[in-house]
Parts: sequence; structure tokens; C-alpha cells
Amino acid sequence: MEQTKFKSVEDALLIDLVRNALEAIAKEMSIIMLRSAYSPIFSEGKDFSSALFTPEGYTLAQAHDCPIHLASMGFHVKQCLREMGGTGVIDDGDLMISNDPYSGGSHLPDITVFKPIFCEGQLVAFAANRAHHSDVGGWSPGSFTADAEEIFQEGLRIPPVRLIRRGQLQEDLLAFVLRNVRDPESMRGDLFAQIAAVNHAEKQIKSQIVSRLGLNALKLCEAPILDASEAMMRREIAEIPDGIYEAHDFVEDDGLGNGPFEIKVKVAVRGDSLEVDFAGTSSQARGPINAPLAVASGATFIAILTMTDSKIPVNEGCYRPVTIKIEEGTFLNPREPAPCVSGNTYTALRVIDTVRSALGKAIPHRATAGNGDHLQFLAGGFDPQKNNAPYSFYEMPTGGWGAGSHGPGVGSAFGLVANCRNVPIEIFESKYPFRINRMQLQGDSCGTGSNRGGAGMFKEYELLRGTARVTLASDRQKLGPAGHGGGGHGNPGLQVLVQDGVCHTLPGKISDIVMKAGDVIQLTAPGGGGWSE
Amino acid sequence: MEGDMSAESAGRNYAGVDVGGTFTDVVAVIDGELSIAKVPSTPNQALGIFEGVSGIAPVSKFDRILHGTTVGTNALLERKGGVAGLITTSGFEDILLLQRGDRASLYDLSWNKPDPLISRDFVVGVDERVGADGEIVKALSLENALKAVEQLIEKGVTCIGVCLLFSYLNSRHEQLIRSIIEERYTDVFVSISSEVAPEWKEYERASTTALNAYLIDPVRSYMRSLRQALSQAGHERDFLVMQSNGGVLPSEKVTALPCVTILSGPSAGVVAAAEIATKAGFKDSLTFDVGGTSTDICIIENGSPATITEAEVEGLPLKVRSHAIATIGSGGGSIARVDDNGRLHVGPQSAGSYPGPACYGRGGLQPTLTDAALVCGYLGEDKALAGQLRLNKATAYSAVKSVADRLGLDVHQAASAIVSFAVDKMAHECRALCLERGRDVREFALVAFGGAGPMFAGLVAEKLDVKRVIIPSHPGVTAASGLLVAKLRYDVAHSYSSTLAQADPERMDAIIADLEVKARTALIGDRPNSAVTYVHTIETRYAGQTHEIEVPITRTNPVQLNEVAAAFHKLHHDRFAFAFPEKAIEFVAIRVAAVSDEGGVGLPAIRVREPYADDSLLKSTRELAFVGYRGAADVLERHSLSTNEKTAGPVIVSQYDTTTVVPPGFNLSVHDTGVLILEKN
Repeated sequence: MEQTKFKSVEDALLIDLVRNALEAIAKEMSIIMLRSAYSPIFSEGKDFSSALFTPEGYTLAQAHDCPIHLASMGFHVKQCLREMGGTGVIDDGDLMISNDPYSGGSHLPDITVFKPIFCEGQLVAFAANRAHHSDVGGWSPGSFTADAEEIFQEGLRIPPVRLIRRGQLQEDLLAFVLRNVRDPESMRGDLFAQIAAVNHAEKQIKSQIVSRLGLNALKLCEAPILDASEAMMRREIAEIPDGIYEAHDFVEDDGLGNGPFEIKVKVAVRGDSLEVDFAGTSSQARGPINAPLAVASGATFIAILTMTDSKIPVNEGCYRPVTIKIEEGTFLNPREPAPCVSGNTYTALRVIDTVRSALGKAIPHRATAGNGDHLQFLAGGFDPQKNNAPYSFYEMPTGGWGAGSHGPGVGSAFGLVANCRNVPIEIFESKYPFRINRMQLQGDSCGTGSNRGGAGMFKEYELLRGTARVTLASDRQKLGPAGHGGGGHGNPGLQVLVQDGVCHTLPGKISDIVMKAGDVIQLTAPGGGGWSE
Repeated sequence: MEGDMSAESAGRNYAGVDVGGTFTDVVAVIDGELSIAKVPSTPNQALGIFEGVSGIAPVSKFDRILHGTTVGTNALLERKGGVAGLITTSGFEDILLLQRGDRASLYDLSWNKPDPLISRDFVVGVDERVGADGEIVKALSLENALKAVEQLIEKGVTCIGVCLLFSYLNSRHEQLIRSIIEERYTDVFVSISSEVAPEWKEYERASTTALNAYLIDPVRSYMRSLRQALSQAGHERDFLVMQSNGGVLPSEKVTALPCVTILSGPSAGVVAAAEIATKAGFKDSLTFDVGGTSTDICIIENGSPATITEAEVEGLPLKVRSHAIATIGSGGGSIARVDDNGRLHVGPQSAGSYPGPACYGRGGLQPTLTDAALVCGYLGEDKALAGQLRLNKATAYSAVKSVADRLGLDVHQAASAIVSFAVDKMAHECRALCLERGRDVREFALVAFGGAGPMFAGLVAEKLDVKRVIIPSHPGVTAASGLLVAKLRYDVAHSYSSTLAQADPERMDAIIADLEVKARTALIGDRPNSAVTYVHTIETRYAGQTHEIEVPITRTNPVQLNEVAAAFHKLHHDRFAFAFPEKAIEFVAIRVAAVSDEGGVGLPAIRVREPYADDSLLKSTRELAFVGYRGAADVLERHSLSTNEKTAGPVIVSQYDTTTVVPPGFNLSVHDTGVLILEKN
């Protein structure tokens, strides 16, 4: 019988087989996470991500999870490795955790777990999972302090540490972490779900790739997988006309009365590479709107991914043609101990929009007008009808997306940093002493143009009983998302408290408003900008 | 099987008819004998059905005709439903447009939400409000409601869906609106959400109600014409239609509830697979149904197909009890291409059934998975597919060559690479589906059917390290045979939101009693003597979780809450590998399914002679190519195999409606029940 083997590794097919397997494994990690995590934030909010990395910390494959996590996790893995003294000090069976934005993390509630994968004594990959935990201590429950002035108020900082050493769980370290958070049981459950996810990746890399295709197949494919995506990305960039494209936009305030904070960006397209320079961006804020370098860079990558062929397999190769320059001390690369819990919400959204706007001048067919943010409305209190049981919730009325040459903007959808789902009214009213009087598309909120922007959501909440303390953490309340070409701006958002028949317009970011029974909060999310040639 | 047959159905003549895109399959039992037929599907499906059934015996000879239909599904996919309107609580008219705010694509900003089936101009609000405890907060204004109805009538609607907030707790306003419409407009059909999907989550309920209203026209007129055709030919009894839940209902009932038929065909296949695998001794199996454009997979645990209470079609949520079928975008017609970056892709584009793969010789030029299989020798050109379609290896060869040239491979290498890519994708999805249920795919046997399932199942099993593959006797007509074992079934639900500590076990049993009456009435209506069994489940979760587990209970009054809790902890542990016995538990919904044995007759365990069986070719040989292997292998005719032989792969088994590939490393044997078993060495 004649036996025919595929030629060798340079064969593009093996690379694709390995890549497909790695992508499937990343996806499986997220299935494991979703099915074993305890907190609802993971199943409804999809606020976690899984990815695989090369031994150098380069993203190799990722699941279809939370974009801002995925685009910034590589920074965390790389910086943790640097801080720990390189891969030489890591052993088979170790598992690291960290959440510190100043070690490459995003914000403190996001804890990243990563595990080195060894085969036959050689380090072949890292598996990492990042998840937003419901509480990591600090000033306020949920560790989302709208008026923090230092990161120390935002919760427990975990530098890169080994939670598991050569297979041994470090119980004392875990006890220390759990002692510092408000819901230790949830955190324990969720951390173990993260660990289960990276353990699954280790097992599958061994059984699906190494034992079937050989250790060499994996090692030899890693570089070409990144190179292939890099080549695809370079081909995309080469089609963008050379030039320098600028844009600017604002985060309106930092929640402490300071602002606006300007994001200035200059995107230089030279051949098949891009340089994104944020020179001139405002200095770091006193309030928590600062985006750590990893988050600002991640947001920049998201912008670029949305402006190029969405079928390119996303990995570190996509990022190689891009140089990002952000001066330290700006609110997109703050110095310790600046607070940064909100950095990966509206600040990241604004970075995405600004970079997209600059690049859109070069490739209008891929551009869209400015996107409306989702609003953030947090409230809590005690429900008199339920024996004064405490409750709290986090609502995010969704804005409209900007229109593009492809058509009108999507009405009422989550901002690009995440991909959450809103809570059904019938579930919401069953749990909380509020009634939703109206929920509709705010038809006139969208920018005009030959293609109209998407409409933002209007939602009216009436408190039925007791009192509630309310925090609003929203931006785009003064400046609507820009139109493209001759297209009109989307309307800015509007947050109104109706108390005793009097309407009070509220600022974007405000803490500790007290609502009483019969009071109404009307939230209008911004509409998307319109598009015209 | 005799034991499963009710007295009524024994010795009766039944026909199961499954209509697919290309073929209409009929499996009939007449006097205990099985017959099968495959005829081309017709644009008016009723004609093909009539032809297929009559080909076996006169329609009047059948006591029951059971039907898997795609009329509703096609109307949805092609957006050819009726002119429907929707009435909502005022202030929530945008509900179908708002959806849930998430997106299907992370980075593609040209994405947009799926278009609602009922456009915004056809949605009107009425002044009314029911509160979260089911109390009427604002009474319905009849005048205002009439105005809303008239507005829709002026637009020419023939069906109106009504979905008001919290109607699953208090349906009075929805009922009132229905009577307003029915009193004045007798030819307008009304579908109210408290009947279609009486459960919380307003968008999902509205979407389901809208879908139901949208499908009523096409489904009603189709059912009517089929009933007429059958009755003119002397078949007086109402035919039964397969639902997404694996049970059948009389067509008269389905006419008012077309949303239950969306997975009609695929579900019939799953029912058959569960029956076949269980009889062959496999309690846990994974269905593997490969068609022209896609592959459907579904987990069968302990003999029962996994079900879900909310499905999704075309991005639209559908709150209908359905088999938990996952669809993979790879099938026999999936097109292989090399992109500008030199990457090979197989699917999701498909050559469809027309022109179909290049080897069909009907003008298709792009290489498909079927063409690759032909080049690899899995298919032969000497025998016609389903006795009707001859394959052309030369056109397959030249189509695959275009891909081979781009990749710098020879044609056989390229063909086995195409197969390998498709098989990898199928394997990844099978593993992921099992993981989602907390199971290891290696614990399952694959049940392979559909025209192309048996061709790829062995290769997928090999990738997954799955030890056994089951090939039913007639893989190409599995869905039709599933109709013969399906039972009458009706599912009802009631939202019940409470923590276990605050639950009222007597009230819960009262709800169950109501649901039983509701389900029984829908199921057997005026035949009070029919035997009905009930399946009761309570959707349960830990307080704060958002995914529920359905806990089966035995009915007692009051409901034994401690038993529910214990069962829940155990199920949670089985599925997710952990449980929190000390954590608070909450209930979400109570569900009852009524099942009557009335329905199919079961599959007789006799092997029938196939049509088109060709005795001149009992054994031949072909050159086969796999990744890393090329060589000659035997091609055996299935009807020539006997139960006491074991044959080592590689070997091909050929039969009228499919081809089975036994890869190297697998042994082939024939089980007593007639199914083929592929077993890993």
C-alpha cells in the first residue's frame, strides 16, 4: 500500500489545521468558564475572555468574547512575565494571577489567570482567562467607585503572583485575597472557573494538537500563524492611502468636576504600517476615567480591527504593523496611583471612535459616523415589600451606532468594548421596586444624512416604593457623536430626574442621588451620527 | 418495540413523510412491513407527498399519515409570511427593533440587527399596564384598543399578534383584545402571547408571537390544501405534524401554532436516532445529520434527546420547546475555496441542491465537499445517488484541481485536505456542544444519518476519539422513519418566580394541575379516554444565576420542595461539576408536557429489500485517499452484509440512500437490529 504524508510544516494546511484547533480550544475555554462560573455577570454580561499565547506572550488565538479584554490581555501576560523575571523562572504546574492595571491589567475587577503549558519539558504556550469579578474590595460595593481619586480606593491590587506552584494551590495567598473582598464565596467559585478554563486548554493542546500532530507541529506553527495574520493585516493597511490623518474627541468630565479631557490622535499610514500617536492628549485625570496603557492600546487595536477585513484571524500578528505612542502622564497612560476603573468603558469607547474617525478620512468606505455610548445607571436600596431586602442593579441603556456607506446605523446596541445583553423588563420589575414606563427608540436622536445614524434608547424608570441611591456614570451628555461627511451629529444623551413634577437635568457622572417613591429617572442614550458623502 | 405500541396502533398502516429541499422521503408500515420511497420535492409540497405516499399504497389505505414539514421554516427563511400586525403595551412599540442590544459580530460594523418579521409600521400600542405581580395597574381602554385594531386592519393585516407586558401573569387584556378582533373581523386570525409563549422576557415572547402570526397564513393554506388532497383521495383522518419538540400534533392544532414547526424535519431525525441508538444498546449518543448545506447535531442522554425552552432562528429568539439541535455550516454541498491569503476554507457557502456539487454535472463548477469525497474514493461514480443521480468524477476532479493548484498539492492531497478541514470543523462543534452540557464527547456514540452523515462520521469519530458510530438501516430517510415512532405531545409552561424559601408548594401544585388540564385539552381534546402521561419539570437555579436547569419532578400535592432541591443540586453537579448545597435556590418556571401514546407505530425491526438494489455488484474495490493514507479498499453492498462478520477498515459500504466510510483503524459489524456499528480498534 502506498502511503502519502503531507509534505511538511511549510505546508500552509498544517498551519491552518493548528490555528483552527487553537481557535476551537480558546472557544472551549470560554464554554468551560461560562458553565462553571457562579456570578451572573459572566452568563448575561459575557464579561470574560479566553485566549492562548505564545511562550513570549504573543496572542495566538482567542475566543469570540469581550473585545477590550481580548485586545489588551497580551500586555498583561507580557508585563507579568517581565516583572516575574521571565519564563526561565516558571515551572510546569504553575498558575499566575494578577489584576493590577499598572502591571498591564485593565481595571481592578478584571482578574487575569494564566497558565504556562509545558509539553515534554518545554514551554509551548500560555492559556489565559480574564474575568470581571463582582467585587474586589475598595471603597464601594462592586468596586466601581465613580469618584475615586487613587487606585488604592478602587480595591485590592494583585501583582503578578503564583496562585498555584507546581500544582500546589497556595491556600494562604488565596485566603489573603478572599479576606479583602465583599463576596469571597463568589470570587472563589469564579476563580476556580477561570482555573478550570486554563486547565482545559492545557489538556486539549496536548490531546488535540501535540499528540495528533506532534510537538514540533505546534512549535513550528506558532510563528507562521502570527506571520500569516501580520501579512494579511499589512496587505489591508497597504491599501489605505499613505498620509497623516488626525482626529480628536472628548471625554466630558472625570466625575469630580474636571474636564473636558481631549483625546488627540494622529494616524500615520506609511506603506503597510501604521503609527498611531496620541500626542497632545490631556493629562491624567483626578477621577477614575484614566485608561491604563494596555486599555488605550487595546481600544486602538479594536478600532483598527473594525476598519480592516473582519475575517483575518485575530492574533498578535494583526498588531505588529501598528506602533502606538502614548505619552506617560496622559489620561491614556496614567502614572500610578491614578484611579482607572472607568477607563475601559467610555474612555476606551472614545479612543475607538477617535481612531476610527481619523482612519475614516483615509478609507471612507470602512468608516462610520460616531457611535452613541451606552449609559450606566447603578442603583441600590432596600425593598419595603420584601422585608427591606437589599438590592442593587447596573443598567445600561444602549446608544445608536453611527451610519456608514453600507447603510444606516444600528439602533440601540452596546458599545464596541463589550457585547452585553440588556435585562428584560419583566425580569427587572420582578426583582426591583421599579417600573419601566416606556422603553423605545428615541427617533429624533440620530444624526441625519443620506444614511441616518442609529437611534438611542429612551427608558423611563419609576421608583415604586422605598428610597434608592443612584449613581450615573455616563458620557456623551454634552457632545453628540459626530456625523461623517455632511451627516449630522447624533444627539447627546440626556439624564433627567423627575421629582415632585419638576424635571432636573443631571450631569453625566454623579453619585448618591436619592430617589423616593414616585420619582422618575428618564434616560436617553445618545444617537449615532449620520453619514453623507 | 411491540411493547411500545398502543392497542390502537397495532397492525395499522402508517406513513411518515419528511419533505426536504431536494427529496420527499416516505417510510411506511403496511401490515407490519416497512417500505421506503424517495421522490423529488415539489414547489407545492402537497403534490410530492401525495406522489410519494401513493407510490407505496393508495392514500386511503393508511390509517395515519405523519408529516415533517418545512413550509413554516421556508416562509421564515425566505421572508414570505403573511401580512401580520402586532399590538403591544403603549410605550413599548419598538420592542421588536430594540431586541437585546448584543451583536453577532465583534468587529464588523456593517453588521445590523436581524429585521423583525413585523415591521414597525405594523406595530401599534394600546393603553394598558399589568404590573410585576400580575395586578392591573392601568385598565385597558376598549375604545383605544379598537382604534389600534382598526389601524392594523386598514393596513390589510390578516393576522394580528398581541403581546402585552406581564401577560404571562395576567392574560385578561390580551383576551379582551382578542375578543374585540374576533367579534368584528371574523377572517382575521389572532395570536396572543399568553397562549403562544406564556413566559417572562418580553422581547423573546413578542418575537415568538410575531413569528407565529407571520407564519399562520402560509402554514394554514398549506395544511388546508394537503388535508383536502388527502381527503379527496379517501384519507379522512387528520394528519399529524412533527413539532420542534419531537412530538406530533394534529394539523388542525398546528395551524394555530405554526411556530412549533420550525425544526419539524430535523427533530424527526433526532427522534429516530434516539430510538435506533437505544435499541442498539446505546443510551448516550450524539446525532450527526449531514445534509447538503449543513450538519445538525443533538445530544441524546439516557435515551432522550436534549431539549431547550428557547431556540434561535435567523437571529430571532423563539420560546418554543425544541430539541437542542446545533447546526454546523458544513454539508455535502459546502464549497471549498482558497482565499487571497492562500487559506483554504470549506463552507459556509454551499452549492445547494441546484446546481449542486460539480460532480452532479448540472453546471456547478466550484469544488464541494461531495466532490472531494468522490475524488477520495468515498463515493463511486458507478452507482447513482438515491438511484437517481449519477456522479461525474471528471468534473469533480477538475473542480478540486483548481483548489489543488492554488495550494501546490496534487488533486488527491487537496481532496483529502478539504475533507479533513470539514471534518475538523464538525469535530470541534461536536466537542463544544458536549462541553456546553458538561459532558465529554468521548462518552457518546455517533448516530450518523442524512445523505452524507455515514460518509464522514467515522472520520469525525476518529478526530474526537469517539469509539463507536451507529449507521441506521436507512440513513437517507431517517427523519421520515422518526415520524413513525413520534408520539402526540404538547408542551405548556407557567412562569413561577420565587425563591425556594418563599415558594408555596400547594400553589405550585395547583399550577401544575392547571397546566395538565391545558395540555391534555390541547392534546386529545374531545377524546377523554385516551391515555396521557405527563412530564413535569421546574426550572431552577441558584439565586442570582441566569441559567436554569430543568428539574424533573414526580407530581405530589404539595410539591416536595426538599426533593426538588436535592435533585437540583445533583443535576447541577452532574452538569457543571460543582454544587452549592448551602446557597439559596430560586424557581423560574413550571413546565408540563403531555404525551399520548397515540401517534406512530414504531419501526419494525425487519430489514427490507431496498429499491434499486443491484445484485451484480456485491463487492468491488476502489482507491481511497485519507490524510496520510492512500490505497485500495473493498466496496461492499450493504444488503450483502451479515450479522456475524467483522470487517476491518478501510472499507466502503454502499447502499441506495447513502455511502458509509469505515476509516482505517475502525471495524465494521452489523448489529442484530440491522444497524451498522463502526468500532474503533
